[in-house]
Amino acid sequence: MDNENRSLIACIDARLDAIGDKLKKKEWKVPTDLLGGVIFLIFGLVMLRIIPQQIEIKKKELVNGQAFPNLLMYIMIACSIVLIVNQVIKLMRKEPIKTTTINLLVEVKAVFIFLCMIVFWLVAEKTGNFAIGAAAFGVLMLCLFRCRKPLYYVIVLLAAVAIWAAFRFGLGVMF
Amino acid sequence: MKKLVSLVLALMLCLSCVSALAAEAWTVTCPWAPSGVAAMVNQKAAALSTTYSQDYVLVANAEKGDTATINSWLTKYTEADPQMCFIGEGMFGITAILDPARMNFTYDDFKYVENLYSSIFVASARKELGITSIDALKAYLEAGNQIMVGTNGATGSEAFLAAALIGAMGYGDQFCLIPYESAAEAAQAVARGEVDVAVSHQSQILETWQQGGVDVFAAFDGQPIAQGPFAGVEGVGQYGYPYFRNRCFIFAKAGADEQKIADIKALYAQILADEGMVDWLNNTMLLEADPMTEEETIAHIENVKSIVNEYYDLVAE
Amino acid sequence: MLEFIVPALQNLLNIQNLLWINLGVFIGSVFAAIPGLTVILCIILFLPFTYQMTAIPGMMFLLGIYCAGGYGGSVSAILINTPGTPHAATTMLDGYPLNQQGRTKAALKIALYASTFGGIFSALMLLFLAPQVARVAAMLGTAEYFLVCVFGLTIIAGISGDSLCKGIMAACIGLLVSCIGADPMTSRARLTFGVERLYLGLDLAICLIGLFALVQVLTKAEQLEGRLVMDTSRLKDGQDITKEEKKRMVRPMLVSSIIGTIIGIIPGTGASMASWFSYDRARSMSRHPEEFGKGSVEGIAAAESANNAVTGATLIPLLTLGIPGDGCVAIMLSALMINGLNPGLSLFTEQGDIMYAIMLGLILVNVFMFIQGRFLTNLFAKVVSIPQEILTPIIVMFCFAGAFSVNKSYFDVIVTLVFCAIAWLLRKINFPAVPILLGLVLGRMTETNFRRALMVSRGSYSIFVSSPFCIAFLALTALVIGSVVLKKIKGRKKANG
Repeated sequence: MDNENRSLIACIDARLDAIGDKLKKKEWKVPTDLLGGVIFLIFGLVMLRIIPQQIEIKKKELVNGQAFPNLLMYIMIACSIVLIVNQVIKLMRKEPIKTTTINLLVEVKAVFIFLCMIVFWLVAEKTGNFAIGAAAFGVLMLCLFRCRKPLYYVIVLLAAVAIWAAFRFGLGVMF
Repeated sequence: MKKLVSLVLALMLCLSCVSALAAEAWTVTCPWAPSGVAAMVNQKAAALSTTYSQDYVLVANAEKGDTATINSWLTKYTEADPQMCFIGEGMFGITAILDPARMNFTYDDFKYVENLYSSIFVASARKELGITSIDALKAYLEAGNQIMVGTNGATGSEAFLAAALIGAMGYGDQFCLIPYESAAEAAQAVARGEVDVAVSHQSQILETWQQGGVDVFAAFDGQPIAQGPFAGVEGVGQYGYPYFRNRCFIFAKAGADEQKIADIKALYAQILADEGMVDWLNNTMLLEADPMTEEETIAHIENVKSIVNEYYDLVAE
Repeated sequence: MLEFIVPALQNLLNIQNLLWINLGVFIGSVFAAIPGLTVILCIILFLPFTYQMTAIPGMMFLLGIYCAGGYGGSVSAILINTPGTPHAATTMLDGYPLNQQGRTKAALKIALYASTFGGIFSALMLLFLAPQVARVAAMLGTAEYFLVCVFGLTIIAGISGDSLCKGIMAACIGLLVSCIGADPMTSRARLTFGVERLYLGLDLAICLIGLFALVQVLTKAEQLEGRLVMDTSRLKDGQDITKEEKKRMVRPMLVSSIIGTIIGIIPGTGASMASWFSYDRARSMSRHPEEFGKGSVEGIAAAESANNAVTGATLIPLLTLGIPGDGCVAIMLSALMINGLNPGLSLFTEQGDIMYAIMLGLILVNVFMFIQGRFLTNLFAKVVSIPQEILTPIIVMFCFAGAFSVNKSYFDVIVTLVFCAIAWLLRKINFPAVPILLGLVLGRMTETNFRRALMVSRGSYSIFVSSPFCIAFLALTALVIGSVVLKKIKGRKKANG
């Protein structure tokens, strides 16, 4: 039985390694400043549309509640344009622009960790017990780390319960 | 010897556990700042509860958030839970008119227990203006001067009291409200001449007044202040101007055990009559112990509502 | 004053007070080291204990928590790149890189020495200059507050990384987030999108968890290996602080303690602002500005001495004018009032022995913080030797528990996740996340004071040049902006030439 388990784990590991190798090869060069400029530009423009709907103003105000957020968005848009124009000029002059490499494997791993955090929150909220969510998260993370040491699982589970108990009974946080 | 000591200790521990179990703990949630006046009085009352009752222990809790705290308090607890909360005229009298969408509750969701204290707000003016009485304020306004009033928050009790006083004098168009993040900030603003007048709890202006930075010229009450450092300051009610006291009502959830609520009300009556408590309320906090019936409470809320409705434009528009 | 010193010392120096100080210091250090558990939350939780005590032991206990909290936040900032408290974010900028260089203990010790220095410096200021300093602070009005904030925003230039534009854009995000919630001037909801809970605004500590702690966990994915496994490397601790480094710490500690004390006496500003100001000053005064952000000893010393110098300074307006300088001190005010003490200058003559005992006690608190810190440093430093597989989930558990306990709501946990996603996106496009934090710290204060100043002046912008303080702050701001522009021009000339 033990051998069977080991071979199953080895089989899963091999599959994951194969997937990992494939994902690792998928890389893209992203022009960071250009992309960032476009994202912030769109965000700024969208916010300028949203602000009047989201912020009701008083009639008699000298500087109303919309003024500061609007000012911020104008600054953001101006900076975005400067950033984009800078990058476009560089492109036209065929000068190197700032880029970063996005590796699919890294992003997939990050998404997995983020999903584990979401599972933590969902389980804790739905069960009404923080310790259960924390334990689920701990186990998922150890699996992601491909941890094979049972002691580590025990430590993380105990930590989940201990943190819950310390907050619940020590600080009176009911969760 | 060691065994004997351990036995005694264990016995004491058991006894303390038993006595703690015998008393039912009622948590009283204050939905305002843990450093505020209401939270302090809550703590003091809770500390005294064990002196007057073996059946009930009051546990003070502060969770700032105003209506949001009360909204979640209502969903979190049932009428069987030993829970109470504070609600002031701000929620039932002001938010209910200004922003009812934020309140997921009405008065009927609660069972009235008691009023914890009453506070008479005072108006103070910067020294250079020479406003030392209500008549002096009127003369100042009659001369066509604009008046800037600093208050804690933009739509709180202080803001409406200031608006009601100046509005009722007939000078609403000369009134300008300057909201601050705290009463202490407003008190400092009037002392350094940034605003002309500030409205605050008596204790919040005391130090500034003692240092000679301001004149305290009006109390938001029907009579002059009877005791304390501001004794003799005229009440706006003497001139027929509208006013209300700041109060802090204790409520349980509607449907809570009648007998238990009656017992807790009786416990509060004992706490509020305690000599040390009364002395502390009067001399340190500059407040008054002021037990009220439910009818009086409802009348108080209605009075606040009528003031808010009348002077809504001066504050909220 | 002297007539009160002897009775004050008699009141202060007893076993009970020393025990309470030590207990407070221990609780504060540990509490603040946990992300999400802020000092203010700790003080609120332990406040009821003080109601059974008299004023001096009660205040000693709370001051122990308050001061040690100032230091404790740096521990997690250094160890796990997550500031335990918002004001420790500046410490993180250099503390974590120094830790990554294998000098964990050195980083922790620098933070401890600097915190103690800053704390004792401001305690001495409180003892000797409180009434005079408080009177000057009381003269600062809304316009001056606004200009302090504007000056604070110039720090963006120093923390923007390779592009000022990107720093400004990130700061705008922080400033915009600070607008969420009730409008401070009208109480109307802003940018709440119908979510009732957003009316209260977003707590800085919660945003911080998402921006720095959770995203740090996501970076485990970046240690690229050919397999779907995570990095499990461990760090080893190396060299202690050298004599040379100790010498380099002196100047930033002194300057930052002065800055921290000045910021602390201005009510409503707080330790975060003090650390940012000091960090920026230390970098511009340093002979090694290139080391900042990469494990600079001066950077850690500046940030830590400043945020602990605030602790004594916030007590100055409290004890002399009855004005609490920040949220923690406001709660301490209630501890005094429960004991029938209404702080103010009159109390210095009526109850001078108690007031001086509290002020002298603050020095003791810092001394005990140092002694305990010496022991705790060794213990804290062991955190880095915990296997990553165990440490990573435990960090997230603490973060979530901390985020929940701020408002006792899972909504705040969701907020941390949103900020984590934002920080990850920014990381991917090489935008700095630190200016967001600066925006969050300064946003509300900047806007509120700008709007209020114009209300007070009835729309006249002349209010911003109406006092010598205003002119001084404007000149300082102009000086900083001028030096940034000059540096840029020089940099370009160098690049071209």
